[in-house]
Amino acid sequence: MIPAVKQYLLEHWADFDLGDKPDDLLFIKFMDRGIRSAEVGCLTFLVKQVRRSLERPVLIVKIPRYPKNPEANRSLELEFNNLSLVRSRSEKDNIINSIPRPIFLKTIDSCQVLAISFLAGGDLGRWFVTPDPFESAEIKYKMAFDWLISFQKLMGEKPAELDEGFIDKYVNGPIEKYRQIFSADAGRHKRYFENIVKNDRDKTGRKIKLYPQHGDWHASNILAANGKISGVIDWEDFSLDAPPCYDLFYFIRTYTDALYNSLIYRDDPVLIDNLANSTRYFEVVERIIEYYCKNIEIDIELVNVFLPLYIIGSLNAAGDPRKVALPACERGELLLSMEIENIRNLVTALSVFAYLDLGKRAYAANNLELVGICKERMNAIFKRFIRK
Amino acid sequence: MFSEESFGFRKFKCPHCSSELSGLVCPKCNKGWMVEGGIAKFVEQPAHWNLLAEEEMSGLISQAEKVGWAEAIKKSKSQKIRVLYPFTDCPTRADATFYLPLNEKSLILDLGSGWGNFSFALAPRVGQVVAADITSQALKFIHLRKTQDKIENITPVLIEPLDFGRLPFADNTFNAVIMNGVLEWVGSHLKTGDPLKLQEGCLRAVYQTLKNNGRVLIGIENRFGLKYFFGAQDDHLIHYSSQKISYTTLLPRIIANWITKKRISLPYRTYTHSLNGYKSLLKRAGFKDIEVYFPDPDYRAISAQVYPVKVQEVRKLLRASMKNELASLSRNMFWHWLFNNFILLIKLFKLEYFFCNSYLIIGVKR
Repeated sequence: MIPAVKQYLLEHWADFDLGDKPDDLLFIKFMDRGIRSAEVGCLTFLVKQVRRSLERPVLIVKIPRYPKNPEANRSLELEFNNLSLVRSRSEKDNIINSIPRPIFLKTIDSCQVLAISFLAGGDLGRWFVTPDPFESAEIKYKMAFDWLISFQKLMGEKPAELDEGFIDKYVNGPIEKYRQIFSADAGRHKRYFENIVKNDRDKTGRKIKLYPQHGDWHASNILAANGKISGVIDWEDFSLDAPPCYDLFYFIRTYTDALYNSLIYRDDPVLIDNLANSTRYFEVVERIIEYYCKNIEIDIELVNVFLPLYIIGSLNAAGDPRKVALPACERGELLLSMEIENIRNLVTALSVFAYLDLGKRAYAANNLELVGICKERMNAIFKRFIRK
Repeated sequence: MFSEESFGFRKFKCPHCSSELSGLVCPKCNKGWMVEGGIAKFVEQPAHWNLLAEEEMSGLISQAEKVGWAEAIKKSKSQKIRVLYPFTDCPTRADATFYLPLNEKSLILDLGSGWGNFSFALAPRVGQVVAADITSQALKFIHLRKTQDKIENITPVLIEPLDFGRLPFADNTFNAVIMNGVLEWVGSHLKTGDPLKLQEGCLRAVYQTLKNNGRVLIGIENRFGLKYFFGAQDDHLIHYSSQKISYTTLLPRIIANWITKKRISLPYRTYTHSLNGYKSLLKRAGFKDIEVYFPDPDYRAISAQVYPVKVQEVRKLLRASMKNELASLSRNMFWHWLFNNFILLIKLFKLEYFFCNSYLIIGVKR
């Protein structure tokens, strides 16, 4: 496949506004992160141009692993269309420089190929590693949300009201979708779903502003260079119609997961306990929620009302035939069964997955004592959250 | 016997006299071959190379017949079998094949297919895959899996060990031949003859089967992989003995041979080569336009990051690995001094890419 893509790029180089024609192109294949099922996945290549022996990254090329797979092709189409839309709306602003330019979506040798411009920078997951993980978290949260706020404001708001129309669209609709994707009967999570509707109805009449959401707003999709956000990638899940604060919760959840993951390799459950109960980390999270809500003009009281909408929405996204992200589905289902009602509970509940992973690691190392401790800790969290 | 309805791929030749076969009988030497249990068999003396012992593999196959191949591996009582699942059902392992010009019409030979991970990964995006192996049980597993998964474009073919340099496929047939973790074993079946010559003979046979502009893709260890300098175990001798044997790839083969005979009573015949060694081996077999890639961490990985071997990133990665390896070395001053100077020389002359642990190599038939 790559020889055909290379030939196409070299033959049509002048059409892409990428500077002088290179002497050669080199393709580096990225590792598959294994998040979605391999069958619906795409391969990603960094394309470097070589001119007078100098290498420079210029493009990102994505190719479906299975060219005939409709879901993989849909992912490429969504990314291309979303990038085109987002860039057309933000053309006059600086923010455009941190969004990849869609270059082409083309069928080459019977296979659809997406090419977008390359953006420099290291991903935010690795940036600003300080000895103090909470200080580092605060810096990264601030950077990520400063960009997001500017972007959302640039894209424009849509005034809305918490009413039956809102409930139908953002609560009942996703619940119905959840039931379809996961073949769930009406009884599954019934009490939780009823509570969500009730909490929304309690706030009937409250005015809100709806903003477009990136949809996959986590640290690895945000690039930074020289202390600034230099790029935001993976626009496949961008939506003008996502529930409010979706990106806010997405970032908090994935960042907290990453913090727990960084502790697993130290084989010490006490570290996980400490994070699960850390007042300092929770203060960081609270400060960012406050900052975001203030800037985006959302009543902070509504944050806990919107949180369950994210939990259902992200589970539906993981189960979408375009992703079939089975591990994420399993975890999302578990999170749903824990009936999370506020951010503090979310931070604590996520420790279940850290104990689960630590337990698996201990099992592989035949450390049965640690396996026992992890089981005990998981049970304690389940008891706390899962009501009979 | 051969029947057109049940067997898609038909471009066979007699492995003994190279005449094109009509059906499965050689018109020249009258030798007859057969199709048995969905597998075309071109051997007189069966051989065996498998990660599992014959008895274990038989058990796995009968279990797979009852509960399905995936469940049989995932839920096996043997941990040795269970750990193989991520490598068996793993399309990402074959992602390096995107560096080949394949499309929905391509005809591929997966030479040394094992349990068929590459064959199954390729089947949905090419025309036809021939999975060829010397182990009948591995092909039985492939046949079972393709039947259970209703995949029609994989043809399992039992072949002689590649040491003989004879392939039962017609000349100018394939668009690509994949040899992932295979070439280094060529020479290990026959206990006589220079393994290097046998490898060259095998590559010549591969060259014959390729169409013009066809490619061979080889995944293989580097004889001078950085890890070996720092005491990593020989990746191939591990299959013969649980003893840790290190440094053999780096040593002159005559010394490596003496060591293996002394330690495991076997001659040293699993030859790997340097980057230039591979290039010259492929050139001698007739291949041109050789491209080399560095799969990080390894060509056998579930999903490797793949770099053209001369990009700057490879230099950076190798430098970081050298630093780490040096830091983990014992505090013996002499070794530190020696390796430090060795690394300085490598950096000075920008020779890092000669020390990748493994390579993916593509050669073209022109």
